[in-house]
Amino acid sequence: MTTPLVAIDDLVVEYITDRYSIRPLDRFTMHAPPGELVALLGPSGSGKTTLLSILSGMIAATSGSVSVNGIDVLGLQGSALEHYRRETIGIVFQGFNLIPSLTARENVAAPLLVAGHNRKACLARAEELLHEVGLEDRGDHKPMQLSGGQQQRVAVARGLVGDPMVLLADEPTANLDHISAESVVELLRRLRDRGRTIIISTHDNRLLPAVDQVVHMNPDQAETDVEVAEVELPAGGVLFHQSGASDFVYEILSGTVDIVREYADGTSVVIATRSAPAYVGELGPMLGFPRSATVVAQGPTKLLRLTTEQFRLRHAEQT
Amino acid sequence: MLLLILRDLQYRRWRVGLTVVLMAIIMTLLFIMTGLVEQFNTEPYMAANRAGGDMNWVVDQGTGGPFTSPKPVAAERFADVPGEPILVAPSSIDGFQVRLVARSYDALVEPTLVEGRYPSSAGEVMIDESADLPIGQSVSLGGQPATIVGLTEDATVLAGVNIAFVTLDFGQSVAVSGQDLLLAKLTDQTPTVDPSLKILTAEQIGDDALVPLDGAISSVTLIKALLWLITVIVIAAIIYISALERTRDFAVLKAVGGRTSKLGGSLLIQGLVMTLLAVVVAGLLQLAIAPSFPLKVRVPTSAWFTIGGGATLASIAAGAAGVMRVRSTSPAEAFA
Repeated sequence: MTTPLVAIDDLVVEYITDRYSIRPLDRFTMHAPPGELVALLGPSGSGKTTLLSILSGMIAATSGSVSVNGIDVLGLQGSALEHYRRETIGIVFQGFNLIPSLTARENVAAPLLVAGHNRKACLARAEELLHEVGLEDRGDHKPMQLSGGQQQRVAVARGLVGDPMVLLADEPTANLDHISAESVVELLRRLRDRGRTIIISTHDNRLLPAVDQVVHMNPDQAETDVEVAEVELPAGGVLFHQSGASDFVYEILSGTVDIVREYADGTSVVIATRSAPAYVGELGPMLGFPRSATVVAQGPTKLLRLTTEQFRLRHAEQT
Repeated sequence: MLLLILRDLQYRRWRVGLTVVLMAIIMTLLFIMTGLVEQFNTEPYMAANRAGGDMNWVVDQGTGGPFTSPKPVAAERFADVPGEPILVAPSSIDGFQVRLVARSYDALVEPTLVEGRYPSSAGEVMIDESADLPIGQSVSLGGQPATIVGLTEDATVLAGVNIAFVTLDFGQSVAVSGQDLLLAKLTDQTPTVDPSLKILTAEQIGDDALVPLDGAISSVTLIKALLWLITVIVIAAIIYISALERTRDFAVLKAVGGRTSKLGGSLLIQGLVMTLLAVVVAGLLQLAIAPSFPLKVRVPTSAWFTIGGGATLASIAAGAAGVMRVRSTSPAEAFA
């Protein structure tokens, strides 16, 4: 088996926002060998950009390990981290993020220029890369004089300027028309063929046939082929926990439940109470979001467990 | 790195230009105010020097100072005092207030001659060039006809009142109706004098003429302090805002491995370039504007260093705050 160039194991990232904690990555594991094009697939908020930020050493993880070419990324600091960003990885940002005051050539050379390398050598290297991405005649153009696709290719060239082994691209086709998107995917595949590992984040399923590995960022999808079932809870019984995977919708047949918001400081507050007949937990599975609250039975409670499709049909019948 | 600084300055050239002009205008006012304070502080001493050189003035006890409260007395009161007789009195030329300094012709070689010649007979006047009276101009001096024969410089007192130099006889004719009255005798000695007389040094005469300007000096000094405050705030705000505007660029450059020290350094250099450019523009502007002021604006050489240095320090302090901003900018913002 090929040794992975990128190895992520049991990665947990948790942060606090508006007093409650969010866990965009929970025991996440992924391995990518050299020369592979990997797509991180998932909707907004599924942790794709968080994962790219972790891989580029920009944010800290709560636990787990991240290794790129044998480098413990989570342990990097200061100049070692700067060196890692310059030499080991390249980054292509969503929305290109080119510096408007610089020409295409200078944008590509910028990472080397800010590192204090010889200006002439930096610009020569940039010229070489512009040629590689097919923009050798656009070197003197400012970003605003380039099309979206051209800007994205300049951004890719900038990501390659330090000759990295791993290229990270955040939604590389998000702002492009289909012709420009195709040329960018073609470019990424060409770079992959030269032995680089390329990790892209996307929410666009159409890219999947073009990649070597797809990593689903919200794997805990609700099951769709299960029967309707009754669930009984004793007093104080928990139906589901906040931040847990959203699987089913529940219809309260008898009894009462509290919807509880839990905060990072350990406190909690009841934000709503529902009694039969009522539904609970319907939005999470429909939107693919984790649970936004914990549901606890006040007393003995009986509920009906439904898939989103079963819920939709039942709700339509009732109305 | 210098390439990135240059490109950013070029890219924001209009804003940079306006910023430099704004800073330069404020610093020009600072130069002008500094020049006015300098003029107020030096004018009385130069006036004393123009009138009597470094000599001591033997005056009547009732005279506070030759330029503020002159009290001419009979010439025979100074009969036993060695020295050169002088009369100083308020008068007017064509309705404009002047201070008349009348001495013997030989003694009138004291003020620097800029143009023309020294007055040698009745009806001839030498005056400061700021009076804007050309050689040969006929004027009315205290009601008597006179002609401008010479121009001098730095001969004003009491914030711009011109000193008119005439011969002693003519001065007595104009100021004291031809009576043989004197204000003082000038001597380079320190003679023992009658108790009704006293000796004033040139410095004491300058000090006395400075007193009426105290209020003006305090006011202008206060305005100067406020201008300093505005200068510092404007420079600091502009440079800090410039750093805030470029937060995204810094995040991207940090994300691709840019060193915080180099990025912060670029911000400092950019601020310094703009500030020093503004100092130079302000210096040139004040040179252009100062002659149109009714008062002489005497900008000391030290002002260039004070204003340039102060502005540089403000720029560095603001730049340091900007550097802190760069330090705290997370490269992850580039993903946002």
